[in-house]
Amino acid sequence: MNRSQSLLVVTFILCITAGFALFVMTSLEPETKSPLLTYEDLSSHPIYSTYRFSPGDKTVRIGIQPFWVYGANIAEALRHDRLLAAELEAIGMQVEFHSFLKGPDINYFMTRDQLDVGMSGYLPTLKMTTLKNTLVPATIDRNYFDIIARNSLTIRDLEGKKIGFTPGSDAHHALVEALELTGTTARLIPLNIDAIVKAMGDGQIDACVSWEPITSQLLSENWDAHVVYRSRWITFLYFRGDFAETHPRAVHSLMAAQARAIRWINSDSDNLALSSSWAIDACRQLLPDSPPFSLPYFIKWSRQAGTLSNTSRIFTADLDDGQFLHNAFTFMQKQELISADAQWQKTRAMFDTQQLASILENPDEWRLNTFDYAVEEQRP
Amino acid sequence: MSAPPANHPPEVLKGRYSLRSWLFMVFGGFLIVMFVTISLIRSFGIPWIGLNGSYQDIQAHTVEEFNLLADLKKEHLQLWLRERRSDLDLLAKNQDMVQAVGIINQAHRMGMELAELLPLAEYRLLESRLRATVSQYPSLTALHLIDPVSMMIVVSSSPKFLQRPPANEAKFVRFVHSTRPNGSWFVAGNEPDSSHMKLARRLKDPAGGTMPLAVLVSQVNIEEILLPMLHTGRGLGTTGEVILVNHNQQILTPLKHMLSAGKVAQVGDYRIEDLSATLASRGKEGLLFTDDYRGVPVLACFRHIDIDGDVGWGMIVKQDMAEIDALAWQRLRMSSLVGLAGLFFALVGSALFARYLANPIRSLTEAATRLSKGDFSQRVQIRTNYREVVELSTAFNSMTERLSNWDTALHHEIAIKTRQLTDELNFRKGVEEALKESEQTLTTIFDAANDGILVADAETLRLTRGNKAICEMLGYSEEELEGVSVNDIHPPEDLPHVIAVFEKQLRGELTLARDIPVQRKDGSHFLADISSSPLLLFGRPHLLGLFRDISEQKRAEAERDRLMMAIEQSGEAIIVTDAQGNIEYVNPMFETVSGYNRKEAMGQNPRILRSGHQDESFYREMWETLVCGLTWKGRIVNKRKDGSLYTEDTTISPVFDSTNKIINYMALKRDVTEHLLVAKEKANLEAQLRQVQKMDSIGQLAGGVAHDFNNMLGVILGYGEIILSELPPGAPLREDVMAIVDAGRRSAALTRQLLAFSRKQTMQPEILDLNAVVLDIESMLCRLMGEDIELEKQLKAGLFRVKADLSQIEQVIVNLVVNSRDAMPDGGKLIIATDNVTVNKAFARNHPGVQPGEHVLFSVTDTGHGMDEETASRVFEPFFTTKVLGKGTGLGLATVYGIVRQSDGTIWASSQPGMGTTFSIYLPKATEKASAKPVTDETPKPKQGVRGENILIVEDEKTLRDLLRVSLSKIGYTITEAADGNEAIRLIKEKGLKPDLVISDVIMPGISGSQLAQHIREIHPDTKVLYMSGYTGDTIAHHGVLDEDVHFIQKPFTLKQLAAKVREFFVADEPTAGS
Repeated sequence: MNRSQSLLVVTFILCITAGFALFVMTSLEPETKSPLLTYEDLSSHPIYSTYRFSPGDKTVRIGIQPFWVYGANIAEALRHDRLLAAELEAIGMQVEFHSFLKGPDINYFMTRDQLDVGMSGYLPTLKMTTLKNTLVPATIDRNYFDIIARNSLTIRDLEGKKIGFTPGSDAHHALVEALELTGTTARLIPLNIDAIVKAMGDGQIDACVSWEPITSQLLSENWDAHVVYRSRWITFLYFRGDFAETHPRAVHSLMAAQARAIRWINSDSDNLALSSSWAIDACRQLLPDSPPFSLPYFIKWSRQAGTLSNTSRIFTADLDDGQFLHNAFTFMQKQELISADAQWQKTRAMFDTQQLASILENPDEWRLNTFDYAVEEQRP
Repeated sequence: MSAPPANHPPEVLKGRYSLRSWLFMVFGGFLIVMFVTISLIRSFGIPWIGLNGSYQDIQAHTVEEFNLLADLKKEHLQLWLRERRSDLDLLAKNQDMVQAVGIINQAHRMGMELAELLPLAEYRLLESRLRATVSQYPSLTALHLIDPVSMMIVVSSSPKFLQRPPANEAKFVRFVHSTRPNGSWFVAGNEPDSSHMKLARRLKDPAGGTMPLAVLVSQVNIEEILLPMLHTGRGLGTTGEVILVNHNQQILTPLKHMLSAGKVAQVGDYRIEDLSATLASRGKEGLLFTDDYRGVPVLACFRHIDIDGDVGWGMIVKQDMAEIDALAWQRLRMSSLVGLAGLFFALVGSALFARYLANPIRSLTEAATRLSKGDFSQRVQIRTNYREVVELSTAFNSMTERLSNWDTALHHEIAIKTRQLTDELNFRKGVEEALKESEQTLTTIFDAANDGILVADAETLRLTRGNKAICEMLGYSEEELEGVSVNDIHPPEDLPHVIAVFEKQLRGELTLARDIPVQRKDGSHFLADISSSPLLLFGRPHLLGLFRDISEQKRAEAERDRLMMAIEQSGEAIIVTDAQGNIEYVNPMFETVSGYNRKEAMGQNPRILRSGHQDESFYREMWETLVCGLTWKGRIVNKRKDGSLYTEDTTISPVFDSTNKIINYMALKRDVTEHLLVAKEKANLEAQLRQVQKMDSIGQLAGGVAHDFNNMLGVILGYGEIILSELPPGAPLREDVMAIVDAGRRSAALTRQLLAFSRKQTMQPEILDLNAVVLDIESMLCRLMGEDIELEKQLKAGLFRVKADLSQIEQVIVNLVVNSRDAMPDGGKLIIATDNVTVNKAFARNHPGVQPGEHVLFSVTDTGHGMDEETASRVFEPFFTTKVLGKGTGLGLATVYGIVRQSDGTIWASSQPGMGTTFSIYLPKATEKASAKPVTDETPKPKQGVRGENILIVEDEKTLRDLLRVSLSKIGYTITEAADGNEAIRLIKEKGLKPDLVISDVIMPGISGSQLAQHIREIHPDTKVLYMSGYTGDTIAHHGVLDEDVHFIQKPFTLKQLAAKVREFFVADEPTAGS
């Protein structure tokens, strides 16, 4: 083989290699849009547009999130709580639940006075306080967001890699804050939570930020991935301010029902299992095509979450300047997720720790240790 | 055998390396490279393909261990904290204790000193409980009960704390005033205790106060209890440590290392600023390679400790990277040493192997060297087991044998070749002569060519030769041409382009350069197609150019383009087919008209446009004309691609070639569909207008006849009645006279219908609801129709009101129903429908007489035998009937027509034979509201006798005037006559006549009835006037509607009718009974 022939062979091999590399890079380009993510006007959302909200004067309309371990357990316990139904009926009201994919969606309908009560993470809760007068009297649970990655030991190894996240969610904050704190620059890919699982499985993203039950699902489906970073979260029960002012008794009944639900779920493994099966049903009803969760796993995750969250008190230290919620508020302003004019003191004043304390100190009056849940009934 | 003569000894080439050295270097070098590569990959992996080496594996393993350790310590700590909290819960829920606390606190607050409290049984109980608990749980160093009011330790497991305020008082106060049941905080080391952590539990006040009854505080020594617990498990080496920080990043446990300045960090005071502490205190968890508080690189694992939101600590588990790396490097060094030993043995082996392989080659090399010096007797003997080497030595020996033989044969071969060379030289001379002849032939062809041929020097661009044709094209003689530059035969402004084109041709990228501008000697230009190619002449590179003048061709192309443009932009569709009729071209207008685009039409036969409206003979005749070479013209109905039809005027002409053979057909088509539609619509409108005008003329005629005819009928009927009244019952003439009167009445009815048709009937319009009218006469209509015909009503709710004469409308309905009944001799269905419709301008334009706006549509539909178009067009003409003689007068529908038109409406008949008939009447919506009918007093007035009232009769028809005079005189009135209006005025003015009532004809010679009434009222305002007429014109009525306060009796009338009418005037003036 002479020199020119050798050159030809080398060029050919280089071309083949370059072509293959280009193909691999192109095939790894992620789908950056999830079909459910593009709806800014949620009135035309394929799921929410089917919802019918009752008039607000006689109905407490609650927005819940089934894809949320422990939060969904509590929401489903509220839905089945006969004591709550009876207390509301005594004041001429009834309760109505609507399922949503993420907290910002609940806020969308609360700002339009179609929902009275929301159950969301701290970012949507803070956002709501800047949109409308809001009462935040209790937490739902405390847990952690997880950044899951392949081929990375620490979060700094994610430099330049693609990370999937749910925009506007608490996880979004957790991810951006983590990257800022550790001085890491990565490519952020906005995806809905259902799309994150698929993108991670297909190798379209290198890492993602998630929460239970998604974290466990991701780890079980991707054996080479592991958690490189965790960030604490707090979730809240919150009410529209005008609703809370006009229906104080309904607000207290709901707060008591939430405290009762925590005690009921944590008091017995069977209760935990039952509430988990309700939550799985709710997920299936909201997104019939989503991957099914295994009940034993859901129970396991709920137990873990319950261990971290056996009180619904708001930890006042989190509200101090420079602490958790204040940091999140500052982050939102920086990211222009809330108005630059929003005042922290105004938001701070909407967090009320006294109302829940008075309920917890009177367990007999609010029947916190009396349980009557409609275990045999099907969801309406 | 002899050696070949060697004038110059062959050059001896010496290699740089021996084979043995080369083999050793190659194998040895390869082994070293492989060893280094594998060692590096094994140690550090290939990061960009995700392959980890030992170093990364060790690092990953360490990270994994760290994560597990941190999780373990976190779990351990949380569990331990929960247990301690449970301990306090148990104590706090003990009822005896709560009771005792209440008593002691109360006593304490009342001012009792410690010495006084100590003897109390409750105090002793509390103290013993606290001591027992502390002794039971070694992790607790002390337990206190603190009064939240006095903020003093009231009871303690250790007496040294009694009557002291709780350490870190601010945190205690904050806890007491919170709502949390549990709390925790750290206290830096102070007397009387070292650094410790406090866990607090509220004792709820049974009385329900917001302040706790007391606070139970347990104390844990950090260094003795907490630190050992945190440092159990995996060893963290000499540099590793576990640090707890609070949410402000202040350390809660002592640091292992001193600070950079040699200082010792104070627990609860010193704040760690490094990244892992920041993240841990903010509730984050993870692992980082970062610098610690000393600035030393470490592997740090950080965790968040959170218990029910009360405890928010950060935990950092870290170890110096130097220590971790040292372990990794130690493993790598060991691994590398083993590898190096292997490499050494491999190199020794490769040296021995090279030597073993190279020895036979060396023997062969020595033999070959001797052979090269001419010693063909050389042979080699090698002892070896390798087949290839034995074969090589055998081949070498065979080669030397053959070389020896070839040497002999070579000398013989040289002699033969010398002879062959001489023959070859002779042959070449012959070839050169043939070449000269060939060149001469080429020169002849060169000069005779029609295309211009040029040869130019490629370096100087000077023309060296050109044929006659090029000389003629350029205007140079052959002598002038030589020396002319290529630049001179092209316009200077085009030279760059021309040169670029030539260069392309010479590179083989272009075979023919088209449209190249060429300049003649006189400066004029022409276009040429030029083909250039390189040519080697006399050892110098030349250019050969072939020129073809295309000026004429260009002119022809321009002409063709102009024609094509005209056809393309033509306003008429053009098709060109081949001789067999297959479409070869269509212009854009064809696409617009037919809907087929050019691509679809090409190759098709024009029969794709056939609509079926023309039969085969039509097309046959057309083709016969065309085949004969003649032009065919005609109108064709064709079908578009979408299936719709259109009409076009077509001219098809054959196209001939130079031999007069038809090669194409060209069709010129003009779409006249729209034009025909407009013409047809116009004709329809004209016909409708003519019909309306005809009906108006007939009406005018009928009205004129009716006037005189009614006068005569009045006389006939009047005298007939007088005769009848005179004849006794049973008189022979009575029946004859009755026949005359009956004929007169029927004639009167006829004239009324004629008047109705001619719209000259007087009418009294009112606001009507047509639905109500139909319902009122429904029973009568049913009787008229008989049992075989079913009546269906489709009456629109909320129907608009119309303004019309009720009796006339009833007549319209009855006439239409009767007409429909007659059309259904075997029974059927009759539908009466009403609806509200809005007539738009387009509808009004196509229906003469209809005004745009809101209308009521009244329709009568039957399922009868229907009508053909001609019958339908004449159906409203008076005396037109399709019925047998004597069955109809032919005035029923004419009457309907007249009444509808007089009511400002229109009527249309639509029918088809066998499909029934529909009469549609459009009446304008009434703008006025219906006025309430006055409630009339139905009580009959008492009959009064005639009292000789004075009546003036004004009538130009003498017979009628006489009849009136006789008749009214008989009743008892005093009658004065006048032949016309002027006479009547004269009687009143000159003879002082003062009539109570004037009965006057309306239309008379001289002044009319209305003018007479005006004159009389000027003289006698109270005198009443009764008009009588067979046809009023517009003198007392407008379009048949009587003026207000006008009294009128229609001629012909019976005497009874006249008497009753006259009586109405005088009865109205009589005083009623009782008034």
